[in-house]
Amino acid sequence: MKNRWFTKKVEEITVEDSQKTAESVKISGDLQKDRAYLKQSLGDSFDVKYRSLNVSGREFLFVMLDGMCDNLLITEQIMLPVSKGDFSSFDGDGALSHAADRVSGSIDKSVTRDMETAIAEMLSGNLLMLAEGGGFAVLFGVQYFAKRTPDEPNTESQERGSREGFVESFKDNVAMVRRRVRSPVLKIKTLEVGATSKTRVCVMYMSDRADMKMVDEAVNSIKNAQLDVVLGSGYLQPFLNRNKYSIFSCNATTERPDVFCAKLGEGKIGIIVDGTPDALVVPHLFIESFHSLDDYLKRAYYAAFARVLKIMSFVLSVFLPGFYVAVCTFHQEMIPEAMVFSITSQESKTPLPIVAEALLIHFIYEIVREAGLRIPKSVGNAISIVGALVIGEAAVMAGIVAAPMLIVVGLTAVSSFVVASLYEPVAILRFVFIIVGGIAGLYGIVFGFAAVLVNLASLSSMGVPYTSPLSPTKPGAWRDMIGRESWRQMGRRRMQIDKLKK
Amino acid sequence: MTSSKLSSFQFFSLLFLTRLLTIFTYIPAYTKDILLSDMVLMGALQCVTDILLLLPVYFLFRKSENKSVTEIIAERSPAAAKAAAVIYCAVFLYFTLTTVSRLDLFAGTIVFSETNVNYTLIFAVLSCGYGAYLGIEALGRGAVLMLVLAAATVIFVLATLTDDIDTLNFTPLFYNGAAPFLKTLVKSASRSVELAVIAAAAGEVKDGKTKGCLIWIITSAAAAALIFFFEAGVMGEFTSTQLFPFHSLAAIADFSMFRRLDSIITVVWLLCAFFKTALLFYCAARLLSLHFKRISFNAALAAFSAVSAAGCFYVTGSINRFVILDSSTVKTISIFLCALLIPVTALILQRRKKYA
Repeated sequence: MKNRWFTKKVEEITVEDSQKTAESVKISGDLQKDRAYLKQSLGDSFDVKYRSLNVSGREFLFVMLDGMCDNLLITEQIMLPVSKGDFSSFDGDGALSHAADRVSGSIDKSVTRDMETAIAEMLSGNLLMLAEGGGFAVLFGVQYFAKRTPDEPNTESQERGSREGFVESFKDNVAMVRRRVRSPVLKIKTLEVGATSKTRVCVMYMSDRADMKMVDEAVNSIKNAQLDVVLGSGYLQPFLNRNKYSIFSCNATTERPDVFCAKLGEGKIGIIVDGTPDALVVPHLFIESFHSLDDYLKRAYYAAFARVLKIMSFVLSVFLPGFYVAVCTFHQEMIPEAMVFSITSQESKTPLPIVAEALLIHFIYEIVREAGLRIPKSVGNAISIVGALVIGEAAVMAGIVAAPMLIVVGLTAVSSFVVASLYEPVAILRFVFIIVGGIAGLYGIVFGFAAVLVNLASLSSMGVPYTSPLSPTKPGAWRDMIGRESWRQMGRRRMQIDKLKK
Repeated sequence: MTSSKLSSFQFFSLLFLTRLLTIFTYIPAYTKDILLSDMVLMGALQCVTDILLLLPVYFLFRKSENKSVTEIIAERSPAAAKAAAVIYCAVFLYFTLTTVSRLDLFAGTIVFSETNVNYTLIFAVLSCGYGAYLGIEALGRGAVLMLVLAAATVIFVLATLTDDIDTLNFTPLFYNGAAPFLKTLVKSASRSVELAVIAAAAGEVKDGKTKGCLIWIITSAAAAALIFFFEAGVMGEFTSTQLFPFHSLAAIADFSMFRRLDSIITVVWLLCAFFKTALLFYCAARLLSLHFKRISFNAALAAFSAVSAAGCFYVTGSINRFVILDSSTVKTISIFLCALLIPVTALILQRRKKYA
């Protein structure tokens, strides 16, 4: 007696398995042989547990990975009911179907005929069940492993809004999104990336507004990613971003489920990678780097003010050091007289040329920042003291660095954290503009700015220009650019990213 | 490199910036035959010369919308197309040299005289080459962003000078007669490398070329007339003593406690120079790669950039060389060739093909 669901499922997998390569090994139904194959594949790993069970003359084999499964769940929902079952009237396949569908209380289950798939699923934390004479395996979703509870992401702090952030567990992250978008239009495609790691990647979109061509492009880009081990969403970024020669990225990352859902609501595609709390969102616009969730939770006028502030901070963080170097080296006439005297008196006491001084102090700043990121939090204060006192005050008192330069570094550092998502390009461009400013003055900086501007304009992600809706000009999308409309207006019309396609 | 098609708005924004640079870099010593008030009219009338010079190209593009002039010639005679491409490249090289040498003159005499011009030239050529490498669409998109900045800056500077306009500075029109006026108008038209660019690159514009072109002609003539009006009205005859009057005008401008608006104008000037030079680089490299199959776009671009850099190094630093280079006769011949002779030839070939 076979269950209908199981019959259908087994038929499906038979077709799928027949399409697999000739090298794939089928489950034989001979438990001795299958057990030997598993042992050969998995070696003597201590965490692989085998348990044989003979119930009413039918031999079953259970295989699980210790530390990845919920033992209580296995005992209560699978082992105990199966051990009390009656399988005397079934053949191997029938016994498996009966055990999985009628005897056990588990909802999350799947079947496979392929041994490699069975091993991969078992290694993901599923319980593998085989039966003597059964030509397929049943996999029960009983994953349970130590995980972090959702807390507020450090990199995306908000004044208002949810305090919940993505965690490393893929299923928990999907659940966080589902909880916010309780609609059947939210679709999920699950992929496996990494030849060895077989990391699960989840592509999420809203079917009523996402452009299916974009979805297919994203899915294909991920599928075609030739990677061995995938340990974070950053591994996939280059495959989703065709712009090889740019320091700007056309993918957004977020640790916030609310931001993720908001982006999906704009017709974008979200990508969650198992084992990492950073989700990717494509396509991404340059202007969105200056947006935050707070902008939508506060009044529109303040959102506009905050965005202008962020844009100015970005400009300051990129150009201020280079501008300072250029002005002090070549264009002193541009500075008001009183300031010239003050800067000259300070700079004249330092041994290095301004450009070298700027490079040195910014380099030291980057070292301190990097150290602050890597060292244990308990000694973080020590780094702050070293940075502030030793490198700051002492360097000025020793006459190695001028005080105005420290002000510039301080301002630049603070500004660069206002738009944290652009920190990587900002850090590099800052050094470039210091060198350019020191060699070619403001001319060099202006030409460098033009090159960066055209570089930004040349980028696009999934057919959407990075500088859109500014250029190509799409006035319809300006309602949420630097300023934003109030929710009364924004709520009426839906913003869809595919409308910004060329 | 981005895709090669750009919108009409992007293309003509790019051309507006190049025209703005031409207006910024107007040197009064070259137009000493006419008075400043005539310059205002001349600026406005430039739309007429532009329309007249663009007529052959207009008729040409009516039949073959998505092709450049050289591509249309290539349909009848590939050898002639190659020759035309070389002529266009030579003209683009010439205008690159004049643009950069005017920049050098501006840098070396007016502002930031301590800047090492050689380094500036290297950065200019490198960044413009990079801009051209990214493609015309990227340049077009960037130009749209830049256009907003440039227009806002110019309008702001002019707005601060409204109170300084003195009607006594204006003289009757054609005070020195109509002949010098017409001669200067032709000279002025000869500075319009944009006409050659339209002939060489308009095939890459998606749609709405005629409308976009008309808007560009009218707005750029209006911008020229407005700037000349302010130069004449605010500075009067003092304008003719200035090397670059618009920069002097910006130096006079002030708004509340804000002075030295010339620095903002200098930035806009440099950015316009970037877009103009990058566009010329792109057009030259594209023409070469299109008609000489063995030359790739990148190779053509590298070669053109290298030749431009060498030429710039040779011309800059010597005012005599600059004067020889900046000759209006050469410019007039260049524009006559690129905007009239070659397009008319292409038109004739196109008609012959039709009736063949």
